[in-house]
Amino acid sequence: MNKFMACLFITPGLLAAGGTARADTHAVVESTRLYMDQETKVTFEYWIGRDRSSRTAAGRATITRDDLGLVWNLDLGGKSYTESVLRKPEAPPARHSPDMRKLWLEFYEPDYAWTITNTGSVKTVNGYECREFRAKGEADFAEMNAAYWICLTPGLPGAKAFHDYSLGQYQGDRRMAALLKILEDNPEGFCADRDEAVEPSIAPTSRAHTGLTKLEEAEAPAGTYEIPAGFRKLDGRGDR
Amino acid sequence: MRAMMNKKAVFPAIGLLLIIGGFPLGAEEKTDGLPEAVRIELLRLEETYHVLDHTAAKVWPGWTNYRNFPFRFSFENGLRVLVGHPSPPEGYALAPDIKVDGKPVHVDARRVEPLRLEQPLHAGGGISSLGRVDGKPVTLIDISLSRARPREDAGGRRFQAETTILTYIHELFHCFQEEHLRVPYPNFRYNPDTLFASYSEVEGAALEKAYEAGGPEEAKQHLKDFLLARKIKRRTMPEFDARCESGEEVREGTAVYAEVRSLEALGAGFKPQLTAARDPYYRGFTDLGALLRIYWARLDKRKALTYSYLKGYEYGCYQALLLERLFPGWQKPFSEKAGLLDEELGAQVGPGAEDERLAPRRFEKVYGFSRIRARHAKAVRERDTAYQAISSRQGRSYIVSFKPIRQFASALVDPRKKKYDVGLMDIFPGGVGTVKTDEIEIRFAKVPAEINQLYYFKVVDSGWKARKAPYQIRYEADEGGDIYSGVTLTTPLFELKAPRIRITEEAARVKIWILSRVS
Repeated sequence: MNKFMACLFITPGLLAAGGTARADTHAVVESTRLYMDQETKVTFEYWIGRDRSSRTAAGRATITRDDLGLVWNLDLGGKSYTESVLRKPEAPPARHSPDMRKLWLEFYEPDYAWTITNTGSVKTVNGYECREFRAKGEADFAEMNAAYWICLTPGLPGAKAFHDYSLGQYQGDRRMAALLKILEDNPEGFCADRDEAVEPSIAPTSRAHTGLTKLEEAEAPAGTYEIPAGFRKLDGRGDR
Repeated sequence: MRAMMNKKAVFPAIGLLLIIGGFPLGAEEKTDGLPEAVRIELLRLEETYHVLDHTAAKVWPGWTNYRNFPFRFSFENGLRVLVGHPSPPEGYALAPDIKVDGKPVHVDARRVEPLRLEQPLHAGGGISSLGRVDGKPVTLIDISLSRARPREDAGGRRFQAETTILTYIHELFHCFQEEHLRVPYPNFRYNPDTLFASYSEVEGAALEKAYEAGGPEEAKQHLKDFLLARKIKRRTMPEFDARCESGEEVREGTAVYAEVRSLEALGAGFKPQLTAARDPYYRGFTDLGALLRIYWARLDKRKALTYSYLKGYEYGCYQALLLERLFPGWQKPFSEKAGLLDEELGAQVGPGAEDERLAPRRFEKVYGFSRIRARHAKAVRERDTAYQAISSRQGRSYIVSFKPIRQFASALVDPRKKKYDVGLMDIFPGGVGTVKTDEIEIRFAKVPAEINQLYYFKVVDSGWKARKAPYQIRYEADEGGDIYSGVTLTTPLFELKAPRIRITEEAARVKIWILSRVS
């Protein structure tokens, strides 16, 4: 096969592959939280592109632009937003020589010791074949129990992008450390369903169920990763 | 309760007898009767509205919304009572024969344990939300009631129902603040160093002297001292922390101010509706002077503490009282501009350069600053040493949680035990001794102990590696799931007796949850 013929075959292949690569990942997650007799349902919608993402829930949206190094937090009802610089989570401060003035422990961050168990149970969640992992986190003044249903089927559309996005979201979040570890150990896996019970140090128990209801590759609607026209910029921190 | 309980409807119910007797109930009987202690608590809430009808307009112009917020009462036996909630969540059943100020009462008795409820009960709480109406969360006042003990800051006085009514006024004023006195800063969290503690005491002493002053000019001079001490105190504080401190004085100080101003207003023509026959702990606010002295005593005591996150309550209150006395009419513009009390004082009596130049000499002469500073320096050194010592413990941790029964651990410790506060950690270098409540008793050895996050005791066994087992347990029943009843637990550092516990063990940690107060 000469170079010309090779190009005839390779170019459409590249174009097709490029087309797939350009498609974004679209995920929808339904969450129900029960806390102090109140049930709160929230639907999270994610669009995940190569160097940008958008998460929308309960009248707010967070747009992360890795290409610009910026995060915008949008109040969709109030038509306003804050902007912050995208940073990696800061390392926890060293424990020696604390500044006693700021050593206020109301912001108790449980340092969970996790026990993770692959229970061997298998079930289908929204069409995804999943395995169950259970995690138990123990800290001095808090505890957490979770059941994670992880889909390990290789090659599902959007799975890899959703996996990678989830890793970024859970990094530095101690409550998500067990799920992070499970996902790190299963590079193509994603969590399709999870039940969590958190017993914090002071506040009452909270329970949450979170289920993935849609995962697909699709073209993001125009403007998904942009600040909508007419939105007012506010001063202040736009934490990720 | 204007619509009193219909005895015919209520008394035949087995549930009433069972609740009063302190026994568990069948679900179908759970709402039919309320213990006398609960009924009295509801009467106090009703009297609160009556008091506010008399005082609210004198507390703050435009304060009329005090009937708009539901209350939730949580009792030590697990009983929860909702008053005036427009849409109670699942689990609450209407108590058909009771109303408070015309408002419906709903009861959740699903988690009641057989603990007899008896007055006097001490009320404490805050603002929360429960459920939604028209898509908006319902703000409510969440009150926890626990058995009252003689309070140190009330001079060990006998319990008076008036203090509960004042607590409800305090919380209702917080609801008023939501729309009229917004404070855009979170809670103040700052462990004092010597500089902070010393000038904080000067601030408190200056407020006292201003309040006691013979005339307005003398009062203003002391207010200048207050402002200058604050300025020096904050030289090394981040601006954000400083504003949080001032914000807390607005938030909590004006709520205490609402209590004090209510008391002052009750001196003119108030006729109580609640009688001592219905609430034996209520005297109809007849001894206003004694009640007012409680606030003064708190200011006097807290000002001298090296550490107290409650200082803002009295400091804010007395700033507001002085603004009211010296600059009547201050409230409306203050509300409109969302001001801070110290800034308002600064705008009114702002000290000049000459005041600032003379301040150090005046602080020494009028307030005895050197003596104050030496005392706080010693206390801060001791606290830091205690913190370092307790933080560096190595070994097997034993953690006893009173959270499941909503019991603050510090309330169980002999108040004479030496302790140091670091945020939500109480450090007891000499241990906590024996703690006891209901059928629970823990005899701690004389080892350093901490109370952390309100509900937890923690001790560390540094000699754990030489021991065969972390504990020995005797029990009447193993209920499964690490739960035992009728327990005697012996560890190297304490012996615990409790009706029901859960216990888990890890390599270097044993956790015990107290699940019940009584068998």
